Amino acid sequence: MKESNAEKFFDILSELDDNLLTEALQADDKKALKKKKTKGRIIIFRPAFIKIAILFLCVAIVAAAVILEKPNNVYTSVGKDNEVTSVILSERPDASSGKQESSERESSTPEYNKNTNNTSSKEYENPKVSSNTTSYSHTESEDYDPYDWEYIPDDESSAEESSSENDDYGDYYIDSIDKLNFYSVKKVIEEYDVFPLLNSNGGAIKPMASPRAPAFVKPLNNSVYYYEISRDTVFNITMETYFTIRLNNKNGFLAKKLGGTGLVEVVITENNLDDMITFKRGEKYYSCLLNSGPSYESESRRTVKFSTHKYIKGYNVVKNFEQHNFQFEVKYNNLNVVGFNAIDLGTTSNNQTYEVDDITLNTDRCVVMFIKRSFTIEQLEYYFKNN
Amino acid sequence: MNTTEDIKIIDLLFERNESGLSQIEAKYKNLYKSILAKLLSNGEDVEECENDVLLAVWNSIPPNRPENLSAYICKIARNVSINKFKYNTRTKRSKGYITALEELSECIPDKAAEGSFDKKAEQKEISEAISDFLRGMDAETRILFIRRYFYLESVTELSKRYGISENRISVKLFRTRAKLHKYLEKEGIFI
Repeated sequence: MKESNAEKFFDILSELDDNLLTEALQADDKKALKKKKTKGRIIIFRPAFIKIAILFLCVAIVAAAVILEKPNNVYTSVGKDNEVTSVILSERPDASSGKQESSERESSTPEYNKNTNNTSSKEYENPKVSSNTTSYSHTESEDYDPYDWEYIPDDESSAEESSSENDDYGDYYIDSIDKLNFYSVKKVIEEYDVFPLLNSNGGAIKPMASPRAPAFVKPLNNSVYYYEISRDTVFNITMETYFTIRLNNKNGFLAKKLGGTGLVEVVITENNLDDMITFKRGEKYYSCLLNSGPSYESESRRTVKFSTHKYIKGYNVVKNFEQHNFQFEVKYNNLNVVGFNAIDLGTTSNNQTYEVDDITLNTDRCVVMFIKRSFTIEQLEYYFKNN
Repeated sequence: MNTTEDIKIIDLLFERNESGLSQIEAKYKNLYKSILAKLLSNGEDVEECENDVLLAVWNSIPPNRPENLSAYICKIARNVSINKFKYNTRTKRSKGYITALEELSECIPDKAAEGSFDKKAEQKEISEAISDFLRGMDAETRILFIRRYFYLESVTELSKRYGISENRISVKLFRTRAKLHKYLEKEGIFI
């Protein structure tokens, strides 16, 4: 019994932090052992230490209060100092609130030790990224497209919201529908172990009843509309596709949006917003929605077309019929993606700023699943935070 | 913490280009072979598992994009060798493995004796707790512990590598295991 537990324990060590393993591997000689202790050292707060620390803190608060209230007293005699101190203690509400604060700390001391350790480890593994630094193809594209986002108001306020909520989920904060779409597929792939993923514990997300479709549609002018998606919206997916492509034309639409050529991960979902295709290159995303389809050439072969007229910005689904339009055709054969084309559909305005993408499809790494899922954005964040 | 070379290798794997595997073999073969050989005494098993390691890398990248390719390969090699070992020998166990297991059993809090555990920690939580614990140790303790129980190096090998007496290493490991035992108890973790 004990041995089988030891075996389990032995297996658990397989999941040790990568940096620790690398450090041990690189420590080939005696010199490497002489390094100083790490910053994340665990400090054990013993009761005596805590009492002394609290006492010291109280004295420091009282002293600070005295100095702030009567700076001239610093220069008076010791006896007078004591006298002034006692008066200030009875008069100043600040000093008593300081004491109250310290007594609260005392009561929560056992947790404090634990939190200290946890914090250091989280920072070590997941340095938080402010939403302002999150890079999205729409906002960071070097080519300014006047038709892209100028109609979308309220960017600043939404950025503020993001940074405050970001504290809850760190790197796992989902600040756009692009990311939501991508990670929804990633989660299903992990849970169903389609790839032999490491570290996939497959935590459960309870399905939600009665999904709600976005109802708020706001026309900005005759040809630009947007849906505002609430973070409380229940996201429904019924089909998931994952594959990769390679972009070859640096002046292509997607290459511009995603910040360059090379390998791009692609996910497609059928969901309650619309069928959506999301492209991810590094940390940049671009998503657009269904134009038409699926059209069936035979029972097994079908084509789905997506148009850049309908795209995602943050939590908005934007329909902009003025901008340069491209279509992405995805050809399925049963549970495989067998073709992917980009087509230039032109523009009604004179602003033709992009070329059509030159795309190579990687056909050997494709997953197509028909699995129904309902979840909220918060649940998805929770899953990736805890797995 | 990937090198530029590692990033290129990962990109090749994402493109499903088999030369990525050749480059892994060229760069990391000695590393993963040494990990396999710690647990598997049979040369044929080691050779077979070398291919398993490469296959696991091929199958898991993409979608995984490891931030530290060398550590990722080490973990895969360790898992492959453990699985092979378990599959192969329920009766014939390598002496090194058994010794390591016996030593490790000292770290595991005894549930019946303690009786105060309030949760069954998930594997990942436990490994994170152990990582936290090790980060809190000095470098020497940390490295010796990982070399001994992750990379399965014997006390004799560690003694030769670091020029420290076997006795001192054994004592240090013993104390670390005892500290880890207390730490896990305190965290309410049992296996």
